[in-house]
Amino acid sequence: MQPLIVLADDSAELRTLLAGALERVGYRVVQVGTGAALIDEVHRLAAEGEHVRLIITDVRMPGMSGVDAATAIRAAGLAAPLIFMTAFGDAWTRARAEQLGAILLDKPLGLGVLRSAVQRAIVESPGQL
Amino acid sequence: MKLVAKYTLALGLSLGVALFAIAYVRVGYLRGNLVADMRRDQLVIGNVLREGVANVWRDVPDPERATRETRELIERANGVVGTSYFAWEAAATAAGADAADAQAIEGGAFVSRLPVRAGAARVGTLVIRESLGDVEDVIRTDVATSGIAIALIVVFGAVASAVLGAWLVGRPVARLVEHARRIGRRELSATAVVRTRDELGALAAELGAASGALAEALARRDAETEARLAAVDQLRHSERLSTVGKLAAGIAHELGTPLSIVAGHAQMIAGGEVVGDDAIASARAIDLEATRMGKIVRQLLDFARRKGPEGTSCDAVEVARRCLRLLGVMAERGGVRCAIEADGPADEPAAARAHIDEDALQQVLTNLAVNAIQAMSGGGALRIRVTREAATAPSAPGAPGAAAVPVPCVRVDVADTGPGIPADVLPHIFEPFFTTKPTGDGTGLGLAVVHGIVGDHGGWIGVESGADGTTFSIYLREEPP
Repeated sequence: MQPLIVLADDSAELRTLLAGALERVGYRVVQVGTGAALIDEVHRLAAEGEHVRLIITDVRMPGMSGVDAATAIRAAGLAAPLIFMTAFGDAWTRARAEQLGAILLDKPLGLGVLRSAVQRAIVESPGQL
Repeated sequence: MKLVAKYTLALGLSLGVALFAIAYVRVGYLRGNLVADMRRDQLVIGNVLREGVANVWRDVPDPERATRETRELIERANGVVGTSYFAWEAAATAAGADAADAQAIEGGAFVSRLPVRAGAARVGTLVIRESLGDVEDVIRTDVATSGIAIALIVVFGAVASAVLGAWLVGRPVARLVEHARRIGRRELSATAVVRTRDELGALAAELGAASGALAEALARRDAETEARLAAVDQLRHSERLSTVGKLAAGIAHELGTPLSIVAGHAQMIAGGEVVGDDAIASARAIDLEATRMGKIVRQLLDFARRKGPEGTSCDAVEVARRCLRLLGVMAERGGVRCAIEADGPADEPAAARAHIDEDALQQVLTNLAVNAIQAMSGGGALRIRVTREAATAPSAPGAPGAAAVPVPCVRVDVADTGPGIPADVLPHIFEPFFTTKPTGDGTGLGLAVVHGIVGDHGGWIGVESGADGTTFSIYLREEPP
């Protein structure tokens, strides 16, 4: 079964691009557009018995930020590895990423960078949800 | 010197009245005394003479001879005593049978009638007459002297009081008045203008102290105002810096995603991951993102290099009309009805000259109108209202009360009937890059630019929003016609 990734970004074009790039190398990707939708989707998948192997999220999104959504997911006890994408990597974001044990990627990001980060995250933390 | 004049006049009058009353009473007494003296003298002399006459009548039995000797006696008396005049009235001619001494004033003279007896019978009356003319002379002299004395006293007293008053009171008070006037003209000095050791000196010292204290307080206030102005300046400066920081963050964020998309598609094409139609689709996506980035850069540049306040003016009504004309098609397509409200008759609204560059106002109104039309996705009404009113600028915290006075303004309202802006979002809408729209659907710079343009021209903007719509109110200084 292909590893399941949940991808959150408010730009539909970027989502589609990244999802396609990841699917072509063998992952299954579920797309959402907001922090709130991310939380809902992760819970829904867990409830359906799906194993979410990785969560990739943009930091700045309208409404709830990706960091807050990730914090809420962790607080609910879901330990899936995290990758944050950010255009503005300030100290605050770095600190939160470290706290949550997330990998931080800077925008603009190249597909190669993304794919190797995904691999690293999934391989290095093969743990259950 | 009005004080001294009043005081001198009062003193002179009261002094004059008092002295006059005293003199009047005194003259009365004087006359009484003089007449009493006359009465006494005449009695004394009269009695002496009466004795002599009585003796004559006692010694000389013959009435004719007695009468002759009496007249001789009286003649001698007249010669000796110069002031009175003695006369003898024989018994037969004596008026009435009155046997008592009588004294009275008769026609300007004091007259004594002394009956003389020899034995039991009255032989005649001794009449003494003294003119009161001398008395009147004395009285007149006394009155004249008193009058002159009174006049001299009053005049001297008045002059002395006037001089002393001017010296002790008038001049010091005039100096105090001048000091007070100088305080009113903000020429503050702590020196006392009167140094005497009396109440006026004390007043001068207090006035000087108060003046000095006022000068200090004013200096302190000026210093504080300067400090506050400097602080506000600092604040504005650092706000501008944080705006630059926000700009940088915004640029990074806004361009990050489109660049990622461009990079991704380009990498896929270059790596052969997409070919044929997929490659063409990727290329189109790159083109789209490039255009989007161009728009973002242009908006950022507009925001960053806003032209300084132009100082020109325009007719807000005319600009509003033009704006709605330009957006007419867009509004129609969105089902939005547009209307302009202004003072004056509908076909010839009165002009409202606002202190703002024409193009700048156009940009502002267009921005707000487009937002409004986009907010009314199911149709609605867009209304631009132009009025003139006096309004007070909202002052920044800590700014010295410079905004307290209402100034004549041109007010432009841009109102829509859309769903409104949520209360938690409302305080942030003018922040650069604040947006509730998903990425790519606007940079969130529009309202920040609007806010900046209005502020650059010395105006301000406010917003009210509820479930039945949003109204942006722009206040611009009114240009005098």
